[in-house]
Parts: sequence; structure tokens; C-alpha cells
Amino acid sequence: MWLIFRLIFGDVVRNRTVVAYSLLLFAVSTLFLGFSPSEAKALAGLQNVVFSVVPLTNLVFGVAYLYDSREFVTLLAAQPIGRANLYLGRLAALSLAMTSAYAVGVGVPLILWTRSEAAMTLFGVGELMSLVFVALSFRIHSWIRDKSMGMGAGLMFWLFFTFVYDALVLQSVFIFREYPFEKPLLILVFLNPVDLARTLVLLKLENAALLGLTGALFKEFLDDSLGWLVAVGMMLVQAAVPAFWAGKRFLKADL
Amino acid sequence: MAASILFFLAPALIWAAQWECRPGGLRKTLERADNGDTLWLNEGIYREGPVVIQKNVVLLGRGNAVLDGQYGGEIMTVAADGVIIRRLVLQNTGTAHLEDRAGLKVVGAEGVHISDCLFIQCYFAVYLAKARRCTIERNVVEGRFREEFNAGNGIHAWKSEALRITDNRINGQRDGIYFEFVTDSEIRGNVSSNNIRYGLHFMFSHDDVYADNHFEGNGAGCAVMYSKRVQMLGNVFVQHHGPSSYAILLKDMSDGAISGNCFLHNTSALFVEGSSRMLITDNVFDNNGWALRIQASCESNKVDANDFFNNTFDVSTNGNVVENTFSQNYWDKYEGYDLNRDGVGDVAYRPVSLFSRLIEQTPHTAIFVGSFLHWMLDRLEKAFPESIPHKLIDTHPVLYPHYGRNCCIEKKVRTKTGA
Amino acid sequence: MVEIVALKKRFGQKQVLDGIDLHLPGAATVAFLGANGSGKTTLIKCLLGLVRYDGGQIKVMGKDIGGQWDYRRFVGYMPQLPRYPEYMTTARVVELLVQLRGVEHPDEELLDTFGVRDFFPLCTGMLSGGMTQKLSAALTFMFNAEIYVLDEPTAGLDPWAAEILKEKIRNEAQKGRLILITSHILNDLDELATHVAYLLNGKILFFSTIAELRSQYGEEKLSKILARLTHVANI
Repeated sequence: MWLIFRLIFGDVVRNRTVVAYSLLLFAVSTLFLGFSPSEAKALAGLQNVVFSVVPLTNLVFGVAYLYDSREFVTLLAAQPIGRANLYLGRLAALSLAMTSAYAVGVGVPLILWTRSEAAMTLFGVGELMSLVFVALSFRIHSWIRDKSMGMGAGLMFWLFFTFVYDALVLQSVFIFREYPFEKPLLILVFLNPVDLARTLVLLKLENAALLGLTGALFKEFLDDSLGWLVAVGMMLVQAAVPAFWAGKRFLKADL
Repeated sequence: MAASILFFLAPALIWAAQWECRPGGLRKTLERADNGDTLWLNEGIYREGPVVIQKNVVLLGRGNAVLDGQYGGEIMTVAADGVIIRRLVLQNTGTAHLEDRAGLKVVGAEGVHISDCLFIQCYFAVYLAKARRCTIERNVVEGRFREEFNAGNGIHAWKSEALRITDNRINGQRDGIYFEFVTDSEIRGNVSSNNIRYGLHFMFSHDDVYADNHFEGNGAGCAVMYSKRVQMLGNVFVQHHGPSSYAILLKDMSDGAISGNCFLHNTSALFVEGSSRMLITDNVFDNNGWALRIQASCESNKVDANDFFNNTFDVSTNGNVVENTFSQNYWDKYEGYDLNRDGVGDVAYRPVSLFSRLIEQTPHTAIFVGSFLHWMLDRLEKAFPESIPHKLIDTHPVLYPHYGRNCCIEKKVRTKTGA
Repeated sequence: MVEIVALKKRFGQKQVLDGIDLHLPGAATVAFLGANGSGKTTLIKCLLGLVRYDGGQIKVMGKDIGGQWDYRRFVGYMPQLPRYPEYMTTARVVELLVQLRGVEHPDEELLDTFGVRDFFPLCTGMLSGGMTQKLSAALTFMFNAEIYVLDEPTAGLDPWAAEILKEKIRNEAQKGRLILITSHILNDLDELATHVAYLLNGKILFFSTIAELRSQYGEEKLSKILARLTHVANI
């Protein structure tokens, strides 16, 4: 597994797309942090970018990479190693490569400029989101054999998690506006990793109180360490489930 | 009696007498003193139960003169005109839910002057009822209360007139300063912070001025209600956070002015409801959730020459038609141009965003602040401004701030240190 | 060296392997022949553990390979269109794969004769098709395997390189190794193959030595033999 990890990781971190992604994030973070009038403003601007670019890149690049490395994986699968090791090595390599790219692009500027709780939250949830969407790209790859279809599916998932889901939730908020809707909303937010990540950051930002009653409930739930553990655990589960599922298929797959 | 009383024999008709007081002897000395006398309270802890002053005397602390209520009843009540109290420490009144127990109560008196006193853990610190021309200055009120229901107000005034409340520091009470039916008064240079409910609570009080005060971290900054001709000038409001928190709530106010104030890091900076003919000018709104929430019930208010920076929402409203005028404000979100270079943008600015209207209607939607959806809505709105009908328009948005962002921060430092 | 018994594999509706029985001895070079879709690739992939078969058994060096992966230490695989990690240098790929195989004294003969070392500093993504094929061939023969599975080994190689590779294959066969080749270049197979396994619709139509075939059909060239054979089969 360690050798598989080194083979894939060494490739992905030098990949032009990944380097470009990291540099882009770095440029954007630096611009926001360097030129925004306040930290809150910088983080608000940066989170906009992070919450769309991170899922998009991880999904689209992840899926494309998995398709492109198919022949090599076949070769590896014919070597004296188990499939599980092969899968875990790839998963770990791709996950670590993408989280490293994010750490360089966003984490480093955040640590250099500020180290506030909100900034570190943004850093942390970005990493968790990277894990979730890398895992999801494995799931898509294990599910669709055709590369262009797979990329299409990646884009659809991205659109769903960053936009369609929110639009649907917004719709239901309107429908149920006469009812107490905090708890269903809390659950709905927890189900979408992008929403959950964004809410975690939002609660650490200055304008958290904007959320009114909803915010009060969220804050109450997420302010103690147990709530945080649940939230972080939720995102880890959201990464683990597709990863496990794809892994199970890979063990039995015909390459 | 162990208490030694020094009596300086002097022509009593010409010279006011000077009395030296030690713990245990205050009541007795008060009984002996005449109008116009001065009582020096020497260092020590006075545990003498409620003291009522019915003579025109001067009470001066010397060293650390502490009047301790031992969590019983009240400490001191002034019922005579012209009493002067300085440099005393009053602490530990009892807590009562049916009566307003106070550290220092002034009832029906005129020209009372309370200064340089320290109030620790008093249910009410200074309580003025039917007082006139009283001055409360340079006092420090330290409450360490946690719950609203068993805390009283810092400086409480009821049915009074011509008061001067200046340069006091009030911390950790229910309301920092409370005015009800108080007219022609001035509140200036006070610091009111970390009070459980309001920094300043203000009702049915006309023709008052409050200026250069600093409000920070209270449940809400000021609730100013049902009053006419109130001037709010040069105050600073910092860090009023909470689901329904605000820096200033204006409710049913008319003909007043809010000018030159700074609002920094508040959930809602200025919440205006049912108010009319108010002048809102020359304020700086920086880093607030909502800078200005103006309800449809408001009319004929003028919002001129304010600076809006980094607020999540600059203006929001619950109605369609707002009969108020906006002009010459600086909006950092304004993206217009100024071809004739007169400093005024050539395109009108609509400070109410579609998203802020959504939140106003359905507060839960605030969960989408900062989302891709929010961004899309803002972009759409910028692209098709005519598609969203609202009449709230700044016809002459200026391109450069009137005061600048630093103004808020500098002012914050200045007012807080009292410089 | 390899025993295949009643091997079955179905992809959806299609029975790709329909009861394959095959006993492959050492020191042999077996050419797998058959039309497209006859099951050659699937059969080889079953042996490599790439495809999970539904029924039957494969034994490599006397041991059942079902659910095993250790036996692949004895198997060298040269895929048809190899691709390596694009952004990694050739040297690094070779180094890591050697570590992966855990071979102490790798056979570096082809690295030298193919001149693979010349492009060691290059990332594999920058190699041409022929260079990649050379790298692939060199890698296949580095690990002292007992069984080699070569999928179109000479495709994309220039004639000189193809000759070097064929020489290498003959040498390995002489050392007693089993070599399995699928190729469409019958001339190459003429020179290399000692046995022919012919697949038709997921079954072994016949498996015999090339000497037998030659005497049976009176033809020297494999292409001629095949032509006659399919003629017979169609009747």
C-alpha cells in the first residue's frame, strides 16, 4: 500500500492541473487576504471561491485522473499486491494530494495572514470537503465506465451540491415558512457537505447572528464540542461511505 | 459610643460644619448635622442599614469609604435638595423583585450631585425618581449579574427632568442607563458595556440629547422608543450580537436626529420602526450584518451622507414602498461611474438586495448567506436591476467616503478611554 | 506450470469463457489465437487476477489462485497499451516498481539493450509510444518471473527492438519459463511459439504443439495453417 501510495501521490502532486489548482487558490487567497478591508470580508470572499472551486476541482479532476490512470491500475493489479491495498493506496494518495494542494493554496495564506478561529475553520472544512469529493469521484469512477459520462456525472454532482440542493432547500423553506423549520433545516444542512462546511464557517464569522433563530439553534448545536464532533464526523462519514462503496466494487471488479 | 466625632466649633451661622465619620457613626452624625454641613466618611466599611438623607448635606468619602448593604435592603436614599455625594463606595444591595432596591436613590429632590462613586453589585445603582436638575458624573457601576430577571439598571431615571448623566462607566447591569418620562436631559460621554439587556433604554423621554457615549457588548445597544426631538450624536456602538440584537432600535420616534455615530460589528446597526421625520446623517456603518433595517411603517425620514462599509446587507426593508429619502450616501458596494467627476455617481444606487428581502420575509433563508446561490442572485440582480421593483433608491450616491473606515476605529478608542 | 480447469466467465448476456480446460507446461511459448471476442484476453486476465471468473479453477505452480495474490510474484505481465504515471520520471517508476516486486537482483538486461536508461530523467508522459513499449518490455522481464503474459509485445516497436525482444523471449523460454503471447503478428509467433491454443466462442478449439500442427497440415507458416484450420472449422 505504501508503494502504491508513493507511485500515485508522486504523480498527482506534480500533475499540471493540481499544481494550477493550488496556485490559483493561493493567488485568490492572497488577493483576498491582502486587499480586503477586513478579515471578515476577506474570508467571506474567499469562502465563496472555496465552496465552489474545491468541490468542482476535486470532482472533475478526480474523475478524469481515475479514468486516465486505468491502464496503470490494471498493470498494478497484476502485480503481487492485494486489491484492497491497491485501492487504499490510490485513495490515500489522491486524497492526500488534493488536501495538500488545498493546504498550500488556502491553508498557508490563512496561517500566514491570520490564524483566527474562522480562518482555521475555513481551512479545516475545505480539507474535509476535499476528502468528500475525492471519495465521490472514486464512487463515480466505479460506477460509470465511460470517461466523458463520468466527467458529466461529476459536473452534475457538483451542480447538485453547490446549487440545486440549495435551491430545493430554499424552496422548502418558503413552503414551510409558517412552521418551525429549524430542525429539518439543520438536518438538510447536515446532509450536504458543502452546506455543512459553509455553515460551520458562517457561524464563526462576524455575521453569524444574521441567521436569527435558525442561527441560534445552529449555534446552540454546534457551539459545544460535541456538535463540532458530530459535524466533522458527518463530513468524514460523507467521505467514507462513497469511498467504502467504491472500494467494495473495486475488489470484485473486472479490470 | 466608640465612634469619635470631631466637632469643629466655629460660628455655625456663617460656616458650614465639618463632621468626621467612622464606621458605625454615620446615622448618628447625620442626625446631628445641619443643612449645609459637610460629612467626611473615613476609610472603613459602614454597615448601617438603609440611610435616608433628609438634609441638604455634603457627603465626601476619604480613602476607601465603603457602604455595605449586606445584601439586605437599600443603602442610601436622598430626599433633600442640593445633596452632594462624592467618592463613596456602595456595595451589595439586596435583590428584590417587587421593589426597586438601589444603592443610591434620589426621590423627589432637586440639584443633587453624585460623582466619583463606585457601585458594586447593586441591584439598581443610581435610582432617580421625580428628580430635577441632578448631575450624575464620573461614577463607576460594576454589576456582575448574569440573568436579566434578577438584575436592575445602572442609572435609572423616572419622571425626571434636566438631568446630566456624564462620564459614567456602567458594566454588567440589566440596562446600563434607563430613562422613562425624562425630559430636557443630557447623557454624555458614558461607557455602557456588557449589560444584559440594553446599554441605554429610553422611553417617553422628549427633548433629550445623548452624545459621545460608547456602547459595547450589551444585549442590545439602545432601545429608543416613543420619544420626540431626541438628538443622538457622535456615539459609538460596538459588538451587539445576537439573533434579535441591534445597536439602536428606533420605535415610534419622531423629529429627532441620529448624526455622526459609528456602528461597528453589530448584527443590526439601526433598526427603525414606526418612526417619522428622523434625520439619519453623517453616520458610519462598518462591518455590520444589517446596517439599516427600515420597516415599511416609517415615513419621511432622511438618510443622507452616511458611509456604508463591509456590511453584509446595507439596507433591508419588509415593505415595498418606503417613503423615505436616501441621498449622498457612500456605499462600498456601489459599482457606478462618475463621468463628470463631481464626486456623485451618475447612476442611482439600490441598496436593498433581493437576498436581503428574502431574509426579511423568511428569516431561515439566512442560512444561504455566502453560498453560490446568494452569489448568483446578487449577480442576476446586478445584471437586471430593473427586474426587481423597489423604490428605495439613493439618487446621488457619492463615490468617496465622507469619513472613511478608520473614523470608526479611532472614535471607538477615543470614546472608550474617555479622552 | 498452469492448469486451467472448467473455467467459466460471463459478462452480462455473453458467456465469454465457456469451460476452458488447459494444461500449460514450463519451457513453452504458447500463442493464443482466436477471433476478436473469442475470449483470449479474458482468459489471460483471469490468469492475472484482473478478471474474477464465475466457475472453474486456475492453478499456478500447483496452487489455486482463487482469492490469492502472492502467486503473481511468479507472473510478469506486459500489457498491450501501457501507461505509466505521467508526471513521474522513468527512473522513479522503475525504482518504485522494483520495490513493489521486492526483487533483490532485477534483470536489467533490456534496460541496457533498449537504452531505457537514456530516458530515465524524462517523465513517462513525455515518452513516445515506442519508448513506452520499450519501458514496458524492460519492466516485464526485470523481475525473474516464471510465467510471462505478453499482450501484443512487439506492437509499436521498431524492427530492431522487436528482434531484441524476441531474442529475450527465446532466452527466457530456454530457461524453462512459460510464455503466453497474444499477438496478431503471426510472423513473430512463427519464430517464437512452441504451442498454439486456439479459442472459439469461449472454448478451446484445440491446443497442440506447433510441430504437430505443421505435420498435420503440411504447412510451415502459421498463417497458412490458420487459413486451412478455420476452413475446416467452418465445415
